[in-house]
Amino acid sequence: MSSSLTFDRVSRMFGQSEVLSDVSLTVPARSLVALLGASGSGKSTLLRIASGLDAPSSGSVLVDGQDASAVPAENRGIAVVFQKPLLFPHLTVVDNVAFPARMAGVTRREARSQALEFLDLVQLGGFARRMPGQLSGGQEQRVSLARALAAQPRILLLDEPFSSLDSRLTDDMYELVGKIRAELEPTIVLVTHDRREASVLADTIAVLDEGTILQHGPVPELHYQPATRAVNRILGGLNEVPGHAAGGFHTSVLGRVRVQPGVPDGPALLVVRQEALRLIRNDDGGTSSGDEAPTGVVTEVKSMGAHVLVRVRVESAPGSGSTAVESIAVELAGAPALRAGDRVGVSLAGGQGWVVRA
Amino acid sequence: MQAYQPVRLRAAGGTGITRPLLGGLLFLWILLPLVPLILWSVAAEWRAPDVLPGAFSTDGLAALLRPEVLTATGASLVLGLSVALPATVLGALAAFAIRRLPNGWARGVEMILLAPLAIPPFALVMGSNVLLLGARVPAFPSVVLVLTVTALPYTVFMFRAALASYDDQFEEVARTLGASSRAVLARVRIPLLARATARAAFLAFLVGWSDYITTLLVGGGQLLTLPLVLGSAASATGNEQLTAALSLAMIVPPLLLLALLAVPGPRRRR
Ligand SMILES: Nc1ncnc2c1ncn2[C@@H]1O[C@H](COP(=O)(O)OP(=O)(O)O)[C@@H](O)[C@H]1O
Ligand SMILES: [Mg+2]
Repeated sequence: MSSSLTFDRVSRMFGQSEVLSDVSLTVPARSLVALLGASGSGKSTLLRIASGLDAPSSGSVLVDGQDASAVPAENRGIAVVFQKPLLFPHLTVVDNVAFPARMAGVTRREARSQALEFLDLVQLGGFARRMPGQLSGGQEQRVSLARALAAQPRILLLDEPFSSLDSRLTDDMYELVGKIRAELEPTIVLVTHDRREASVLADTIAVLDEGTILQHGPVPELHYQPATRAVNRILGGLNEVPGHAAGGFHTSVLGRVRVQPGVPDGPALLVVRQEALRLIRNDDGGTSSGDEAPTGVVTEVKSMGAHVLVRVRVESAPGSGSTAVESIAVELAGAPALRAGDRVGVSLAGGQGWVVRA
Repeated sequence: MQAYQPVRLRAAGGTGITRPLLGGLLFLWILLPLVPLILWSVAAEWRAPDVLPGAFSTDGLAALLRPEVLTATGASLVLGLSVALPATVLGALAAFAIRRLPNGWARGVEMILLAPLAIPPFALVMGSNVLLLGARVPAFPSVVLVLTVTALPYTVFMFRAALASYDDQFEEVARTLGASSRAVLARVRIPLLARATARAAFLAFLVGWSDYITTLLVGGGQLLTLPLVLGSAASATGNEQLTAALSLAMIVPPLLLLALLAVPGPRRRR
């Protein structure tokens, strides 16, 4: 029942502005792909084109390899959950969920009994006879999800469905998405501007920026092997250290780091996740062993809840012939006793680096 | 449409007793004037200091069944409906159109549509009368035309309020759930706007049903509606019983309609 979805060189013009340009992306059946991008990057437009609510200016949408361009939205078998729950206010909760079956010509009694099963799936079986206005925001969105699933869609599109819920509710919703995937195995495209949400839920993330897909890959790849600076930034990477690549190594204030194969010699940015760096205390100015580790001065210690973000001004190692200074961000667990002005060493866990074009 | 999420407002100082008390007073304020009217309609004789009429008769109510009164009632009904239909349709179309305009424009057009409310009806009628007479438009369509313009601000306002909370995405989500265009209209748009439509039509009906000045001046005496019959009864002396009965005849049909509107739709309770 679950189908694959393919965008084949989809473009969309609104007047003179090209909101999507040459988007190609494949969502395998039963997988969950997150479309991650800032607001205005064209995410909703892409979903509207997939669902048939909008048409591409050029290119096509394929469902299980079949061109769906000529199929109107109501016959595509692609359900959408929007940011707003959009429950029909004149129908009870159960009749909202029964709506798709009624549209498919099922009798009211049968449609309602099916609807109750989907309400049970989202743990709202007891709310069947309420009116939508009598539910909380989180409950409404669950009903909206149940209604979309009740359409037994080949593909489920979620357009920032959790972004107006508070964080405790979103965690419940993530759990619910996991349960739905385990029980029904739908193909899901999740649009979000929240990289955490994308990382928690998705098998793969496609990064959309100004109407183009910058990179599509598994979650760790996007974080540790971003294709460009833009991808690194969209995924929250804070460090892009300028330097020089030569012979498979990158040289910068962080020293000489081995990088991925195939990097051409020349200026390059070393991308290191703030989570992948460690700080070494140099208590009495002297170093015990790691004289290779670059050192610097703490400029800022910012709380991020259970973590702290430390900014360190790192200078080139003496004798390296360079006078470059870079601010490096390091995210640490716990509450380390660090203050601005402390001198620390910075170490790269693993020792393997990743560079992108400068 | 009604607010999407019901908001519970507490009356200021809303302790248990004040709210029913205020409600009761409001009710009395509206109903009290009706009491003398009802009494007059069945009074044969009611002298000044007496609290109640001295003698009762049904002559006043019986007079309502006279052919000329029945004809006038019919004319008023037809006029009310003839105004309600175009004013409701135009109001809906105008409200949908205004919604598509950019904000500044929308406000401007809205002001123009609301303008008839600010112009004294007499001025409006005299102005349009000159035009309509010049164009030789017959009496009934002329009256309907002028009253439709008068009713338009009310209907536009009703639909504007309804559309403010109406989201086109309701229709889009319905389509992705398998609803054809016709099903979207029948199952989503019309039910969602049903209350607003009924209210708008009711207000527009009232404009036609209760109009006096336009019918008198534009109709030029050819169109005899209930308010005109009431007017002439009221201006004659010693006619209180008939006047009161006619007034009741004016009030009761709209009240019945209103009661009909207030009954919740069957969908709500299923
Ligand atoms: N119907 C439309 N007409 C004109 N411009 C539009 C329309 N829909 C979207 N846009 C523009 O396309 C861009 C992308 O919008 P959208 O797909 O909603 O982005 P996102 O969902 O990523 O926030 C925005 O700049 C928006 O203004
Ligand atoms: Mg969007």
